Amino acid sequence: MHSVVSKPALATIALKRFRNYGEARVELSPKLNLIWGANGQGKSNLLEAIYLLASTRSFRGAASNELVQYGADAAEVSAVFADSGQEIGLILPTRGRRTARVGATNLPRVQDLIGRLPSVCFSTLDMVLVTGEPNDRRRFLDNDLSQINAGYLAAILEYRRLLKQRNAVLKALKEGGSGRQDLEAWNLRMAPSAARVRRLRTEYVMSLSPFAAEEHARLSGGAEDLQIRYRPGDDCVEEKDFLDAFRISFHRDLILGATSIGPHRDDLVLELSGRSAAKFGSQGQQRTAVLAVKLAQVKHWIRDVGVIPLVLLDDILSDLDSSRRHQVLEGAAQYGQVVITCTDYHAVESDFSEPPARYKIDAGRVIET
Amino acid sequence: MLFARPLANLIAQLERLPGVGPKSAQRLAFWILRQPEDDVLRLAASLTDARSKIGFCKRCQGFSEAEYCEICSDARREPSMICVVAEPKDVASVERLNEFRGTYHVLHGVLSPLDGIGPDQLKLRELTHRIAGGAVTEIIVATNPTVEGDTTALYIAQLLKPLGVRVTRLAHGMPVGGDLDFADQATLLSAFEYRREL
Ligand SMILES: Nc1ncnc2c1ncn2[C@@H]1O[C@H](COP(=O)(O)OP(=O)(O)OP(=O)(O)O)[C@@H](O)[C@H]1O
Ligand SMILES: [Mg+2]
Ligand SMILES: [Zn+2]
Repeated sequence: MHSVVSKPALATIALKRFRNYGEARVELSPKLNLIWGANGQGKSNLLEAIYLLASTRSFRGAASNELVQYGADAAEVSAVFADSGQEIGLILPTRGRRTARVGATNLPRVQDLIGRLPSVCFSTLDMVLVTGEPNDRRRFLDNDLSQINAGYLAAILEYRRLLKQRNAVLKALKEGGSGRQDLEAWNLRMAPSAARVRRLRTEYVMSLSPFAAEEHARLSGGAEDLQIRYRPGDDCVEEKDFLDAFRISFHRDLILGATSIGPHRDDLVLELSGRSAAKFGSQGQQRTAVLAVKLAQVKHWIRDVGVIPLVLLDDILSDLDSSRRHQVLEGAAQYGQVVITCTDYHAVESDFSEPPARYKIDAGRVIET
Repeated sequence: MLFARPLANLIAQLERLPGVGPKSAQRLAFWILRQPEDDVLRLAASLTDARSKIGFCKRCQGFSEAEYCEICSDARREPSMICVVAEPKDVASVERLNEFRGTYHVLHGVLSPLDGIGPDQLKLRELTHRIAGGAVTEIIVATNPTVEGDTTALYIAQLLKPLGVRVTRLAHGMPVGGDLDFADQATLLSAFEYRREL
């Protein structure tokens, strides 16, 4: 448990030629912010912009060029922190390299922006945590861990690079390329990297797991218990396990032309009372399980990292019944800054114990209400 | 759009340069054609002149006008220690320190299967030959601390250790993912001092 808790809230967020926004600037409340308006007006776009500053990625998995307003060359997203007054920004051109800056200084790499704006984003797309592919769940872990731990970001980038390089050696060998005695050197370099990624992910899921169980019990009234587990695709733990396994799997890997051992084959499992939530959970149960994992992420940030993250909730209220809506909003209000989207404020008004700052979005324009 | 044959030819040649795509190749070609003829002749002459007069130093594989480069011909340099670098420019970085008294070996790249670079594409056979002479006792691998630089160092260690030489690697204080070129002098100095065994 962490005693020092910092709370990096945003004072403003500004968009230029981003999606359907020409130019917009929103002053945010340090607590609850509600973005509302009819379908297709730009509510999710605004949340997407905030999350881009946090993770450099679109939570909808959009490429840079899709984020730029039709016909424009580049989009720009920037935000100012409430306490420090520091500004961070990201420029997304339709073609070429993205650039990130802090104040007026460009960062050497865009990824250096990650970790400055701790945030947890929850949208209906997060259902892939249950219904999606292992790859979706690994992306979830990678995105979160990268924000929490700069060492993890370096480790996963390094591992992905090594995996590509090793696979390229295998492919060359498969195609009869000679002179590729370098496979063993790649094994040697990749083994510690694989062990590190697997260890950090395992530890993260282990620290998330009690919080997820706790949140789930609260949300479901204790009807079932939720367990989350990191499931490695093989039984390697230490560097030397991986090194041996890479050597042993050589013939299989050669046939595949790809690496069969390593954390790129791992998965995250959600279980309700011991049964796979993906296979046996009802839609409502699956939704509650995902919500619990998301709330657990927030708790983990606060308790283990000592930071209250910015919480972004895209369109999730409409899917919940009134009592869960209330529980989520209650929970969120105790945290720090929260930005929520929904189509109709009046439909959820009674779920808020104190009125949120409200912004109506109308075709890419922001109207404070 | 079709260009006259000599122009198309020029563009095709420029496109072969590393980091030059079709667009930049066109831009460069147009620029060249707009220059005074004398300037272009000088450029062409410098290309062929450099190519015909500069070769690989017979010992370290760095670029040299003579059979052996200045460093390799300097009798005061310690032949028992070889600092292995990826690029010719890295020799200059290390030389500026005035610390290393041995000789160099230039690989002309690092292992990167994604770019089609394996051991055969690097000057590794030449390195093994130098070791086989028996006078070398220590190899210091000074490739950049990237995954490719690291793996190249590991490969060299595997290759040379059976020949009974000590293989070390610069490690201490190097910026991660950094470039030997950018490493400031102090960090590079301590990197030498704290090199570790591979
Ligand atoms: N690159 C772009 N340039 C201009 N407009 C865009 C771009 N990308 C998306 N849009 C527009 O943005 C709008 C969608 O915005 P957004 O997804 O934020 O809607 P929303 O308010 O969240 O709606 P819903 O309530 O349906 O979720 C669409 O009208 C779409 O045409
Ligand atoms: Mg939306
Ligand atoms: Zn030489």
